[in-house]
Amino acid sequence: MKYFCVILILMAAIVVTGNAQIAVIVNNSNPIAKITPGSLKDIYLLSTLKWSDGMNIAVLDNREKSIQKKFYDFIGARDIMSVKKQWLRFQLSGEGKAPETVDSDNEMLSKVASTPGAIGYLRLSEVKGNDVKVIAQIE
Amino acid sequence: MKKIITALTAVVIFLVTTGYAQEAQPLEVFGYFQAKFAYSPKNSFERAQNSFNIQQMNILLRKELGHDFSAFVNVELTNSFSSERNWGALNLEEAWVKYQIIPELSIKGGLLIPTFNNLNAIKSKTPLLPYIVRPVVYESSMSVLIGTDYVPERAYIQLYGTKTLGDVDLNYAAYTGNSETSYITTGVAGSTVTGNDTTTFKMIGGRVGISTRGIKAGISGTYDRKNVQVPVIPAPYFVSPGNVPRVRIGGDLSFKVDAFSFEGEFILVRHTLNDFSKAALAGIVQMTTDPRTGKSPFHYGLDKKFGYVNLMYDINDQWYVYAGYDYLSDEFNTIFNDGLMKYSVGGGFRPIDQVVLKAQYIDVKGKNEDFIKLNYESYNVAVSILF
Repeated sequence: MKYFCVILILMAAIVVTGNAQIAVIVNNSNPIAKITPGSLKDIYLLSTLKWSDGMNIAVLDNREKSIQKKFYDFIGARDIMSVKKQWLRFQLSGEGKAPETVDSDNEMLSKVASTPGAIGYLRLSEVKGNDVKVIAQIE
Repeated sequence: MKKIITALTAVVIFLVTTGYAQEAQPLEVFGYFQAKFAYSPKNSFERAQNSFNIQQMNILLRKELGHDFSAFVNVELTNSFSSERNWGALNLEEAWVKYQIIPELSIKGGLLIPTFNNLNAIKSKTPLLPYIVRPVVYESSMSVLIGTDYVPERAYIQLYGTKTLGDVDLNYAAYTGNSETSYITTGVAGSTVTGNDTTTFKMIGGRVGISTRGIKAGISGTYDRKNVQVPVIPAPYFVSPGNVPRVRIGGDLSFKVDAFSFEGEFILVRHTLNDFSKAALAGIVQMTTDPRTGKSPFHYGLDKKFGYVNLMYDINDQWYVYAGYDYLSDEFNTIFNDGLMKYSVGGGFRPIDQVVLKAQYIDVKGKNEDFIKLNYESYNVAVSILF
């Protein structure tokens, strides 16, 4: 019975994490209000390196697998491995920096809040404060 | 005149002050190395042997300079480099400054690895490559045997970029650089200023490609001259074709279907010999043909061919396996004129993003067995580290 309960709790946790709404956030000083999946793809595949006002984009990635998968599915990237290979090629060829990967939603929130050109994604429920704004939501 | 000077001074002051006003970007220092253990059973050239080796280590420096300028330096140390023990080599692989003219077009100036097919620009970036021993024309440990004629090794100016047209990315690059290495002055030749091109003709080249929905394809080409001033056929014949015009044509294709990734390339190297050299070579081949075998140790031309295919399967995010095949032929090389083949199988494991453990078996065979039976096998394991 105990095992059954543990399994149920684990399954519930997986379902809850899998269904978590995701928010794409930028620093509040960024004039952008909304973003399309296509533009997000260009930013995360490093085809677009600057915001429309000329500021460099600091791309942040979330280490948590379930959120990561949902985000890359939303922007239409083929798979996370291909995205990471593209980042590595970009970095080792001297074209620019590969995105920084952060370990938690809290870290994502504080990095975006403290970096003017930053963009990142995290659980919508974890978005707090006035230093960041949500520019896209993923159901 | 006074107005112009005032305006220019204002522009200079503006550029300098805005440059300093920008937040200073830190110097990025990073790099990678690949440590390898290889076992080779007895082969055509050597006894059985095994060895540990730091195959290569690259130290990379990058800095955003502001105003769309950035600089990049890549220093490579190969084969457990030690100047004291005379091991390996230390090479300045890249040192360039880049300026983004518009988002779709950038220019690089300085020493750079030119874009040619898919693999040339990343041939030494070991954390990106699934294999340990690269396709033969890209493998530095085989360059003594195979030569370096197949791909352009370095250029000095490159214009390049990507234009997005709907779902398709159009990639383009055009570059120029010095003639091939044998034209460059060295200390061995007693030159006081080394590393200088002794010719007035330069290499030019480029690539045009597309990438869409996981498919990448492109064609590449270069034009330069091959240094054949020394006799290509020894005494008593002496044929010296001179500075022979050379064209390299390449094609590359890569795509991913589910967990399978395919990559392949071909390269053709064509030389235009003058009529005298052609006739002389044909005459010598005729004179030296063995009537019993119908074969001569010499051949008519200098042309070369190369191709490779590699099929990889990602078992999951961490494990992968692959199999590859390379083919090469060189009309003028006695060992490779009928072809050289390399079969390769291997796999890898990525415990974390910065570490790749690799294993590979290779079998290299020469088709021409009249002069030497080339057969080389090796079992390799390696770890590639990004830092």
